[in-house]
Amino acid sequence: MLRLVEADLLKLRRRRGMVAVVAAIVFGAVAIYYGVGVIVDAGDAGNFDSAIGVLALLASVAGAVIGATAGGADIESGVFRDLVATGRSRTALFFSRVPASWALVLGMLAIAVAASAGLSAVIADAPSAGDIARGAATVLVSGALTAAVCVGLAALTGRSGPVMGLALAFQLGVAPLVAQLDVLGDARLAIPAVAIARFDGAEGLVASLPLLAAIAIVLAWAAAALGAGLWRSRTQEI
Amino acid sequence: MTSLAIETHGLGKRFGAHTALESIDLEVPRGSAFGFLGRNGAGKTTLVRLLLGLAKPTSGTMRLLGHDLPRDRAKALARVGAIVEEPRFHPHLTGRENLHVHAAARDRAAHGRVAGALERVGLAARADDPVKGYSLGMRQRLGIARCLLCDPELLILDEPVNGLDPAGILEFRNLVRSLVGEGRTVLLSSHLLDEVEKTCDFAAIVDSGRVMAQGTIEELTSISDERTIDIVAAPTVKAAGVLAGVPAIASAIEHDGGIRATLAPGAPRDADVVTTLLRRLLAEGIAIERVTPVTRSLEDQFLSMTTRLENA
Repeated sequence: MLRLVEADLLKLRRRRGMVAVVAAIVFGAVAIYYGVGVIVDAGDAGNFDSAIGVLALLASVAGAVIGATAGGADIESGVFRDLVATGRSRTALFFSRVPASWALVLGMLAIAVAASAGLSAVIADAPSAGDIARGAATVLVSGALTAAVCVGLAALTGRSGPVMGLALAFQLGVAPLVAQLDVLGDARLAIPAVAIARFDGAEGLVASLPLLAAIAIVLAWAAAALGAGLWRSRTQEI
Repeated sequence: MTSLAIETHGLGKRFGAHTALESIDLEVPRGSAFGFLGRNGAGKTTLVRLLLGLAKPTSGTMRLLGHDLPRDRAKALARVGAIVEEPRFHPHLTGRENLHVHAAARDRAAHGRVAGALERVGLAARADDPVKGYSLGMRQRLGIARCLLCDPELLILDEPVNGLDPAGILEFRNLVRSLVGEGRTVLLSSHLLDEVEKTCDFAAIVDSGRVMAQGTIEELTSISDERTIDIVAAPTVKAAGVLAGVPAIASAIEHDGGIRATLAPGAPRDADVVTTLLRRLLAEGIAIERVTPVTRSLEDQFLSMTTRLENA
């Protein structure tokens, strides 16, 4: 299994354009946030919590791009058929994409969180260990969940581009809007971004959500998407 | 160890109302090159997909290298290398990287075979170029290299010479023969009759999802009971007239500057017939330049079988 994960990671790393764009988005956002903060010198310039808010949003972008690419690459290139013809289990071939995408996404996000903590310490107040842990958990869970969901959906549909677009539209457009609809009441807690906000101790709606429930919601989203992708991978005739 | 590399009984596959494979009984001996011959759409690729576990049969049984499919699929396919239709790769990876990606799905030793496989198919010099720059012929050769990563006992190659130039086809033919020489079995699925005849020891002719005949190439080309002899003699018209009067001859027609004589059913063996014919022609003062028995090619056999089926 480890060799399959390494192979999937190689396929992702060699997409240099994609890696460069995602890295530019993640690290560029950190650079712009702190750079603008220094120039403008506003009251909350260099605030670590605000940086985490931006990174949590961009984590879903990075997760969508890399997860969808990992999930759809073998099918779109036609290589999945040749890999299945080796006799290797389709389940192993499917699941190896998840840790591979996580290695790339979470690696970048962890560096971005560490850089944010360091820059906040230089520019403003140093965040506490608890702040860093909560912030890191929020960003990493956001990236990991989006990547896992996109791996599953790309395997389900056999297409990475539309899945990427759908995930970005949902995370950046639909979810924030739906979260504002009071008429939906507690049903809004099922929105992944809302549940993930609980990891950072957000106030308001999510404050009433127990941490275990937030974890369960995140796991349910991942299980649903990965389950659908696994079902398709195991049953499709190629 | 069974003497058969592939064994299928009553194998069928339906896609809705369409029957792709009717009932395939196939026996591929180990250590041979076996041609699976059929027109486009005859069911060749469907059979390959069933053997490799890419699709499920709707009826029948399969055994690969002595293992039941689909029950022992992993064991059966561990020593099987395959190309299904056009070989596909990740275009942004190099040839070498693509082989390592594939090797990751094989046993650990497969990574150690990458360099040797590239060398064997003549791609060592281009191994570190991205595959998106490869020609179709190079991708075919890389596909063969990929098959070699598992040290295969059996290679299943579906239309492997598509895109190869004449020199490439010759190289491929030599490669198949050398693989067979090492004791490996090669199943070659193709619509190229000439290629199968030149490369394979055995063949099966498939049409409309059914195996019409199988056996050695010699057996297949001698299935017909029709015997024909070409005679070059002068004057041709007079010779044709004389031959038409011989009871052992069913028909004698001018053909390609000579006469093609088809023997009547129940005619004596060739040597006796030819002796009789020559005596009659010489007695009439006809000069004889050449007498040649017409050998049926696999193509003749294939066309006669598939045409017969169409007319049925």
